[in-house]
Amino acid sequence: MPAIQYIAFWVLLLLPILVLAQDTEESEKKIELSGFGELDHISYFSREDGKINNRNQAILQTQLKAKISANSSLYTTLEIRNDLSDARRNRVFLDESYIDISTKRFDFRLGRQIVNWGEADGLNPTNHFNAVDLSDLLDFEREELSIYGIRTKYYYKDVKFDFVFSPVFVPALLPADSSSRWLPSLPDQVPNPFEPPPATINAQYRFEQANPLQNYNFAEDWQLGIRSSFQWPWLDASVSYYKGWNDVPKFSQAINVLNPNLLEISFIPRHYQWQFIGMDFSTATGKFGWRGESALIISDTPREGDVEKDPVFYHYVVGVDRSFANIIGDNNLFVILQWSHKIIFEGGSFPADDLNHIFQRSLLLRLEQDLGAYAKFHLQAVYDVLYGGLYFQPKLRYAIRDGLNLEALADILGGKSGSFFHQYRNNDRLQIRLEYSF
Amino acid sequence: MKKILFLSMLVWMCINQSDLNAQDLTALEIMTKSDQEINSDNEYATLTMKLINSRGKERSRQIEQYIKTDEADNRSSLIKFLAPGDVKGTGFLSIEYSDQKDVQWLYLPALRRSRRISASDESDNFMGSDFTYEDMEREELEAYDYTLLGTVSVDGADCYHIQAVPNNDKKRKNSGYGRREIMVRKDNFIIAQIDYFDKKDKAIKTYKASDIKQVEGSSKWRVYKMEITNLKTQHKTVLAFDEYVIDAPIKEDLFTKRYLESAD
Repeated sequence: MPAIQYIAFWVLLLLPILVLAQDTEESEKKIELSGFGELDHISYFSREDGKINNRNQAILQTQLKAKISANSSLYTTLEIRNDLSDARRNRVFLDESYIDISTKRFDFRLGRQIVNWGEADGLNPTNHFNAVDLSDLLDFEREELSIYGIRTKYYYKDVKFDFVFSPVFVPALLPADSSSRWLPSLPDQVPNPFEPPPATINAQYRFEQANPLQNYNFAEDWQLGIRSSFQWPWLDASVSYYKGWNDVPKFSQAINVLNPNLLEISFIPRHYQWQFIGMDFSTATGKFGWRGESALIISDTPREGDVEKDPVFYHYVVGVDRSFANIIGDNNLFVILQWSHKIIFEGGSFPADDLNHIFQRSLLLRLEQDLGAYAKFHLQAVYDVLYGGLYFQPKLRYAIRDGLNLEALADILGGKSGSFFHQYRNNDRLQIRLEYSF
Repeated sequence: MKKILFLSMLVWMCINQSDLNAQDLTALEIMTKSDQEINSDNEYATLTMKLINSRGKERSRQIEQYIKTDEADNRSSLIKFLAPGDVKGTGFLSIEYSDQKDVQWLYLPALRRSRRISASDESDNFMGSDFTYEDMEREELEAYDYTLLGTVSVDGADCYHIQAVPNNDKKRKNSGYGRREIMVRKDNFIIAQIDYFDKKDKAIKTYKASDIKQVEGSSKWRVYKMEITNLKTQHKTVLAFDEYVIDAPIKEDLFTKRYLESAD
């Protein structure tokens, strides 16, 4: 863990204690400690030589909230993670750490934080402040990486303005090396650039990790956004603008001849700036909830200039949800159906394996069926209409007791050859998770 | 002889005093007085909700709730879950407009934002309990025909025994019940018991109130323990109220998405 994070954590942890130790007239001083502990096991149905084939992980996350005054509080989250099967996942991680200050019309948040914009469920075209840990592509929950920033909200009647500024962007964490099952398979042999075809040569690969602080330029390496939200009795709606950096990079390649029979091909991340002009809404009619979100995305060429920029495109997500009562006995069912679509103005579509563009034309389903008061069945499914990819995640969650939950889930990937999910068809897996929240 | 007759009349009047009182109020008047007693413009409560299955296994939720009725008779309620850890921070904001559709939002800490949700069916279970939204809402006095069936004793307290039947097609369609038998205490107009019948007139649920007392600093009576049992599954929900604060001012700001999202 970088030294600055250690220092920041301990200062922020001790600050409320120091404040509370002062003699004060404030009547409402309070520290709340909460969090969760988790044991997580993953087994892949097919084992692959040279790959990490399971996960045996423990997580402890503690959240400390300290009320500094009537209008301000401090919030810090620390996560400790240890994976017996993959030491690279081990970390002591300052998740969020910020101060909240409120006045009659303003809310200020200063520090390391996660920003969540948008009304759609799960897929949010207007929400791009926080990168995600993509070292395991199927980890969806609690994988956002916090950013240093200042967030200001201004409220006037039923209108809210939300302004976010972060001086440095955080890149996504990508699969680290070839031992990860989530790196796309790359050929052992490639065309020999020094000899005419069909000559080939052995190849090995190296993936560089991005370090935005290495050549940090304050004038350019920031991100900011502004969002105006409106609330009527029948509709919530927002318009937004974001300018910043795509935390999932494109890659340029560099070739290094190690010996006459071996090339080293390096993948070098190239982050680039982009802008979003977005809008979102949610409403309800009868028993149905409707929500939608969209953005016009304009990308720049990466600074290094050695990778092509994305064309201008429009991404929208629309969804509907409904609850059904007494489907199995007295148990309810909740269903969400969403459609995601990316439209490139100059025509065409993005490659199937582009991590930035998985849901170009996709149908997403989520359902939750109560099974009594203690159990629930979940199903998430994605159908990639454009390339024919398929993904399912059935999950059973059981409440052993208050705050203690056991989950068993499976991830099934497949579909047509050439689709994004099909390339990971050997990564079908079973996961068991025990979580205690306090 | 005249003395005996007079004394007999006096005895008869004493024995039937309760019947005379019942005849003084109609069923609708009794329900109206009950509605006035159990509702107030501003109300705050903390409670524990226990869900108990037929095998005695329990799940528990600690809840804080604010209710406010404004001058236009719009009723806002904010419910925050305080425990256990896996639901802590979850919030539910509901605005029941007098002249338009209700609006509801749900705040989930994991999402870090609130989510507008479709107004639930009256017959849907409230937060996984045996209470439905219909049970939790204020009684729509104009939507039922009330009939006084007589008097009964519930836990030693004399009660008016009233039958409530939906009186319009919309209510008959939306309600989860064909009829209800409501026992209203004569001394304080608090509802002591309700027997619920489905549309085939089969008994499906029973509600019982206990630990009924006046709220400190108020003339209002409140139920400090509510228990509702599903007669089919034998699952029950118990609400144990720790604290009531009645008619103390509650800021309008509380019933906004801003406060709902900052409740974490």
